Amino acid sequence: MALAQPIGEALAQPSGTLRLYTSQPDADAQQTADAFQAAYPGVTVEIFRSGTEEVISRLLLEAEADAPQADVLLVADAPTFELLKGQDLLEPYCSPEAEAIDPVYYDPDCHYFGTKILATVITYNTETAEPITSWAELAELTESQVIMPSPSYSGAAAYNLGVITRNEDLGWEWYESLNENGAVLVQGNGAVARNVASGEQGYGMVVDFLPIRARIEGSPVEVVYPSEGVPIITEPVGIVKGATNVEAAQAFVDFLLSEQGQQVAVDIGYMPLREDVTPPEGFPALDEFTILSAPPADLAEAREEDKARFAELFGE
Amino acid sequence: MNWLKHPIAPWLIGVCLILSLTNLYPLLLLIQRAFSLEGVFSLSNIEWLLQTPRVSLALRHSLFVSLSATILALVGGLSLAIVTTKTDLPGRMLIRALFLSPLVIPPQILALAWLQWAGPVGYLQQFLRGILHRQGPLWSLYNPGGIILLLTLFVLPITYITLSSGLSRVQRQTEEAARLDGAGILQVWFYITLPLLRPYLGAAAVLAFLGSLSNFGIPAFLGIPGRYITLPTLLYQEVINFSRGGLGHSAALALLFGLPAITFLGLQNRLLRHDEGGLEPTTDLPDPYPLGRMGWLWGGILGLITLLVIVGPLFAMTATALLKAYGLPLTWGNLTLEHFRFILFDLVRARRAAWHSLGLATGAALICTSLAVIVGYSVTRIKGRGLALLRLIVDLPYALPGLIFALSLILVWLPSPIPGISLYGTIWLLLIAYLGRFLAFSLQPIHAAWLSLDKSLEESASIDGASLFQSFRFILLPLIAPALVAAVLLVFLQALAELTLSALLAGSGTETLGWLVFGLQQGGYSNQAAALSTLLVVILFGIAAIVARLKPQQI
Repeated sequence: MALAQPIGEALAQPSGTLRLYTSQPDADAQQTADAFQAAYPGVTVEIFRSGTEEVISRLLLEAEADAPQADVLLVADAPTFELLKGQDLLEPYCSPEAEAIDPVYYDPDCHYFGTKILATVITYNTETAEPITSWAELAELTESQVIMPSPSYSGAAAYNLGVITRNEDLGWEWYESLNENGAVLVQGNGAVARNVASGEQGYGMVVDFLPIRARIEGSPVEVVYPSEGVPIITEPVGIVKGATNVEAAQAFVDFLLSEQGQQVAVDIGYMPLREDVTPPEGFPALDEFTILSAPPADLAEAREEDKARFAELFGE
Repeated sequence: MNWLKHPIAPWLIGVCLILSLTNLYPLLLLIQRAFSLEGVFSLSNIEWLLQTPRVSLALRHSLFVSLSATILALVGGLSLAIVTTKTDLPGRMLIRALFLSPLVIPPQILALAWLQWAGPVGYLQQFLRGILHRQGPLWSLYNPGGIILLLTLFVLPITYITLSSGLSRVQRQTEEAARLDGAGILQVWFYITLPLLRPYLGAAAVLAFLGSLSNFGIPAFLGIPGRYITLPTLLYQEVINFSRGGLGHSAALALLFGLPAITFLGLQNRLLRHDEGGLEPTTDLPDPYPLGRMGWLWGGILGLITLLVIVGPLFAMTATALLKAYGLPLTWGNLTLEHFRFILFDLVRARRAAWHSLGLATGAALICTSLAVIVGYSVTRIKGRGLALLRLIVDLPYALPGLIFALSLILVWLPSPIPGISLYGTIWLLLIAYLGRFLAFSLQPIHAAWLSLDKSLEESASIDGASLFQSFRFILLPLIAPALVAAVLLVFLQALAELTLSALLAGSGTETLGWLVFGLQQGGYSNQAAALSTLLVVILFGIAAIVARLKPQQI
């Protein structure tokens, strides 16, 4: 392949090892890495994959020891990256591919870029529960019919907490109402999806791709994008300060944002950010739902305070 | 420095050097973190610890569930050990393998299987509701009772293996002599057998308590919905508080895990203070108590319990592994072997992970047992205060949740402590992590075995001119063989499906089976995770069958 290209360009091709830290499910991370390696044959991707919390813990300790082991980070949400940016742990890079993406999805200073849309939605069991259409209706459901991840244990749930409590229509009253009606807390999104599929609870608040995948496989669940809008996390990608292979890391960022890279996300089963790429089966188009958001920097700053108030409210 | 003259001294020094890296250094780093703020000495983390009401609440909860689970696991483990080593109960080998199975199932998967079996919409409750014509859940598992029940099942294999290895050393002659003297079977048990078992009971209690205290998966699964906070779940909350860097609060919480552990070990030391001696050196096995017709009655009762607490959850797990999608009713039309096919053939990393886990588990089991033979021998034969500390250093990493121990290992190995050798990100770091964490498992039964072995043996061997190596090889090791098998088995099985250390330390090319289960579970692939766990249980049954053939009734 290199032979077909002019020599100058072939030399500029990134090469060597790219160390990727991610919390994508194992098979998905591998598929992303394979597609990138096919596009950049000179690069070998080494993946460290674990839960979001494990990945960030390890990254922070490595940064503290002044021995960064990752080149590029693909994980979690914008406030988490704001926090890393605040601690000067990210290397800015203004990717030319970002032009095709709505600026709300990336950092204006180029420290991180969203790569996909993971919306938090309502899921319900089609055999034991009746359809509802809004967050307001969800909070009115009594007798512990609702299950959701706890912000004390799940980063995505902490993000939702920040966004929803800053929303004028929902606010803290919404969580108070959930608490009064005995909403069930669990550690993560996976347990929410499982419990609703098994019918232990009729309704769940969950990141959309889990019930959408389950529905396609045949689980008795349905997915609702509530009328008030949905909080979204974007699983941003960013280059780690002190990365040894900056060229490959930049190519990786470009690749994820490119039409080709977004198509890879779609093939795995994720909602793309680019409007010129069609979402996968089961997902609505970008213009079919409203997005609830708040400034990532504010969310990052208030996260611990919000979590503490939540833990007190729910008596965790 | 009298002990330096003892022939074991050079070996002991070697072991101490290894332990200083695998166990002591990570612990010291945690202590240092607990007492510092932004790199400077500070008591602020300790103040936080003492002044936060949630901390003391979590501590009380954790002590309550761990102590309850320990007591239940001791009673259950002893009963099972008696039934399977000292009676001719029909089906005892099968029961043994079944009760060992929680060892190879990661706690998160075990808790999920339990919910699918006995939870509000589980198979058992659905069945009972049908019979009783009742609506709504009959009981809940999201409470301290549920946590205690599952912790008990989780640590029961540990007490069971430890006590079985002890029981098979309690001699026929001792008991028969007592019975010839007119003692009834209960008297024999109360005055002879149980006192002889004391070191093993102590060992089992320590392992069960530390195992319950540090377990995160079960309280996370049942305690978060039940809003019942425990130390491991609180520690997790603090670790993910990324905005407050430096692990200060987490390290301070880690100290809290150490304190009850130290108390418990001290108690064990005190109870075993006076010299045990006692057991005659023979490997003869006692005749089993014939149960006769009663055997079938007892077998039936035990069978029913096994069905309810072990077979049921295993059934639920296997059903999940076979169902096309999560939440479908269990009918023929909904079954598929697709998830097993995926694990065995499609998931390329599964095979690599299996080799890694088998290698790591074998390596960890053999190295831990060798180290434990030396440490156990030294602490029973040499007098010295430092040696009690040695046991503590061995046991503490197991008292900590895997998450914080793994983080402390990153602190140790990132700037490599051995110049020129960087193990960070390699599979050797996982081996080191397993050694540190699981050494307690091999030390406890082996220490108990050394305690119950009379000193006169090696003294006479040494008078006859045998070297230390010779007396170990030909006299001592064969006598503690049941404990060695128990140690190897405990470490091997735990390491085979280890989850939390692997989740933080495994990297590209060093995947393990536990890491794979964790990844599948987290990505929403619950059916596949269940399929992989089911395969692990099948492997366990294979190993149990081999062990039973090699050493009938020995452990």
